[in-house]
Amino acid sequence: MLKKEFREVLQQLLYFILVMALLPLPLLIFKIFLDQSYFGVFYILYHFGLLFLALFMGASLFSGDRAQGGMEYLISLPYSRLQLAGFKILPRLIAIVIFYLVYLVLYQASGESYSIFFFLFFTTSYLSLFLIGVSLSASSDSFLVLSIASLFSLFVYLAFFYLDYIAAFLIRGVHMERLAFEVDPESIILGFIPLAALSLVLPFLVAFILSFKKFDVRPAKVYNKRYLKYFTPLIAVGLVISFCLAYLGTGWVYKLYYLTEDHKLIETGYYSKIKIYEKDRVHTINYKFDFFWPYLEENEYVYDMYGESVVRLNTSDFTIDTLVEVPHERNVYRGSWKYDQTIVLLEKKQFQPSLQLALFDESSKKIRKISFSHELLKDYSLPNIFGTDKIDCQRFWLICSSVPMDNPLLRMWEDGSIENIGMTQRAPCYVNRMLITYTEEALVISKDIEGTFQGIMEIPEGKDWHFRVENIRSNLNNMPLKGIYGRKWKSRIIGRLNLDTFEIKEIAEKLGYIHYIYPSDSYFVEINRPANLIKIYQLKEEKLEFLKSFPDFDIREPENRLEVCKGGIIFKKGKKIKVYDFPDLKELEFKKL
Amino acid sequence: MNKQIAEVEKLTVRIGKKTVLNDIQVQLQKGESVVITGRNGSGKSTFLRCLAEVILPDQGSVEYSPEISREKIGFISDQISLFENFTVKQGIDFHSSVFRITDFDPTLINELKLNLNQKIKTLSAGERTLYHLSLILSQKPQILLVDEIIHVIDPFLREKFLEAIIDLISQLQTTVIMVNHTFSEIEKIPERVLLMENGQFIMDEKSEALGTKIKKIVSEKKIPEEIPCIFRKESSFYQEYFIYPFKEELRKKFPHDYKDLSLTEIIKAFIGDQYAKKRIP
Repeated sequence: MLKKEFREVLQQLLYFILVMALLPLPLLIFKIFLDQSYFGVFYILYHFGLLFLALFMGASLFSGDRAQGGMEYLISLPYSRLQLAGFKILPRLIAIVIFYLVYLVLYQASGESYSIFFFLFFTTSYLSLFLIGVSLSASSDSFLVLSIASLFSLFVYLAFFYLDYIAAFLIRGVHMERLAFEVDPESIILGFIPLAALSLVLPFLVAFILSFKKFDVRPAKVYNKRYLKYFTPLIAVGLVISFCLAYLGTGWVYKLYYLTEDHKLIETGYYSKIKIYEKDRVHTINYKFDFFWPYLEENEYVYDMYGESVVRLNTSDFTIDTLVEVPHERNVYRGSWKYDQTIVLLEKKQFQPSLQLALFDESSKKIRKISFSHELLKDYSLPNIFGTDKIDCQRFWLICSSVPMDNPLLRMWEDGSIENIGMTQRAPCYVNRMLITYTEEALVISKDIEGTFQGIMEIPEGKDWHFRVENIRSNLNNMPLKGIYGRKWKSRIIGRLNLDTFEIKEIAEKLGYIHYIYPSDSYFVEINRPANLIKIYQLKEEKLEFLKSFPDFDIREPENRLEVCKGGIIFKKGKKIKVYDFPDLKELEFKKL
Repeated sequence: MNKQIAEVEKLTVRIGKKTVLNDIQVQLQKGESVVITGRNGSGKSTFLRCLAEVILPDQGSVEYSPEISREKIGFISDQISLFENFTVKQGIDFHSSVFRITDFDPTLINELKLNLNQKIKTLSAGERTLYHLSLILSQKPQILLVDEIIHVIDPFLREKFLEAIIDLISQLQTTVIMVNHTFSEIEKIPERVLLMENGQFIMDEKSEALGTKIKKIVSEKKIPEEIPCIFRKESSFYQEYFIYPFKEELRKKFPHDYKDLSLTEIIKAFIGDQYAKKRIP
């Protein structure tokens, strides 16, 4: 019996392969697809071909037997109905899986980069269409009717699935306009999507199994009545489960926390309301972002760049202002920084030899734009502003690439001119009006002398170090520092570069992270993975001053997170949140947290 | 007494709102040959399909004795359902593998002079019936179920078909259950006749007993009401009265020429009775 089914499926697949192989040719000959290779057209068509295959393989489960008048003979064979269904489904399921694996190989070969959301959507549609087709395959003698019914069911299935999520988000009070198009791949929601999809497709499969157990040669309406008798309650249960999963999925969104300097804890989640916890009260702001994550804190304000806008949250009166809205344009890289009263946005189209700075004055609320053009900008990848200053009343901004060894550092002047200030092996920093870069021989300290950066000091042992002030990357104010901390390259040794004497001193050898807290504090978080221990130190001059240890915290657990903020440190362990202030690391209590 | 091989209990089948089989109870014996007859739409084929498990009942059951596996039940439907795209050879191979037949007997196929590479769909109805029968005979069935198929076969093939069935009964003591309307050519086969009406068996008689239980009176006059008449056939000059149940005492009490009937006539009378009842509100 299995042999017969495999032979039937193989015959059908041969036709499918033949059609798929030949179909691109007329499309290429008649230039329906422009600028596409045979493989390119084949790959595009393969998506549609796969969906058709799923529909055909599912819905035609019994079509072959019906077409040759063998249905009665088939069910008179000495097999139970479920055995028969198994014989029918197995080779088709294998074919479905194999052709999906082929799709994955083609995807790899195509060099395309789909979002995980598209993958989930396509895979769900593909498998569901097959299972729905199987489920309905015994419902009619006509393959056309079965195909239409399967496609309609798939449409309803996807609509239910989508509505479940919409309902779940709506109940949670989430903005809908951005939903589904900007699903965060890291979000745990995606983990629930297959489960919710499964809970909606299972009723089709279970109803088929239960009703097919008593399948016979009576008219289809008898079978369909029985199918509906099982399907109706099952789909109702499926909908409830899928809704619950969607609700759980949307609730189990990752929460981010930020502690302000004056000890207000900001909680944001994926499309959740913003909550601001204080010692004895909680304030909810009914304004939802996909995530609100302050990149900068100044006075009572925290700033974030949300989509195309720079928004500012006032933690005193709990208002949110949209400061700058940038018109949407494709392939534009944007960043946002701040100094004095100016928020600076950087815009760059990929592969264009130009770049634009938008300067927003927070007090006058006016925008000034400066455009820069240079061949060097054409292939400049992900530009970053790492410093700004004024010389002779003219401001400049220092630009580095996220891949600094491939792109030169640029100084961009207010008048629109661009100056190449050389290469660096590691990310540079601009501190105390000094530019710190790295060559293969030394750490180089340069200063602007008569309009050009000139090296004033080369520190050979510095070539193995990397000193950073990355935590103030969004704050471009030039705060004078006595020293900056860094790590010896590819080691656990931490050290300090004295900005007066230019001496480098090793401080300790520990695994962990240095956190610079603007304007002048630095902390070190030591991570002892085997012991699940976190130790917090304050970096004072050339010493590590131990503050507190936190046992039983495994940072490798995906649910655990440690945040170092301006106001203190936050431990998120599963759903438990513990907050400690700087510099005492005294635990802070928040109402209803 | 023959061994019971199947017990049908409270068998009920519905199609939509119509009850096609209604609470049927019947036992089948090993080696007996049964003919089920009745008006069109009375439920005969549905009952046979229930025995073949091609239709599964809404209520009740068909219980076979433990030695009867599904591999030992042969079913030839009036649709002559086979995989028509198969060649004759492929059909034999498939059937042999599914029913675990190791010694397929090609006698019947050889007699038909079928080309093994010929597609089944190119065979005539008669050839397909004989071909299907040859497949089933190789199963060495304990039960053979044959739906109304004889009328589609030409007289030559019909004779072969019936000979094969008679051989089967004699050699393997197979229980043969046939649905049929015409008895002229199968009169020697049935030992038992089941008459079906409205999804129920209204008569279950041994065929030899049936000849003694039903008689015919041909008379120009009306017969007394005391004589149990199940069906009256009228013509311009005389009337035929079918007497059931006939008892010998009737000959003395109401002297008439009580004529014997063939099985075909008996069945006609019973079916005619059902049509007559249907006409009378």
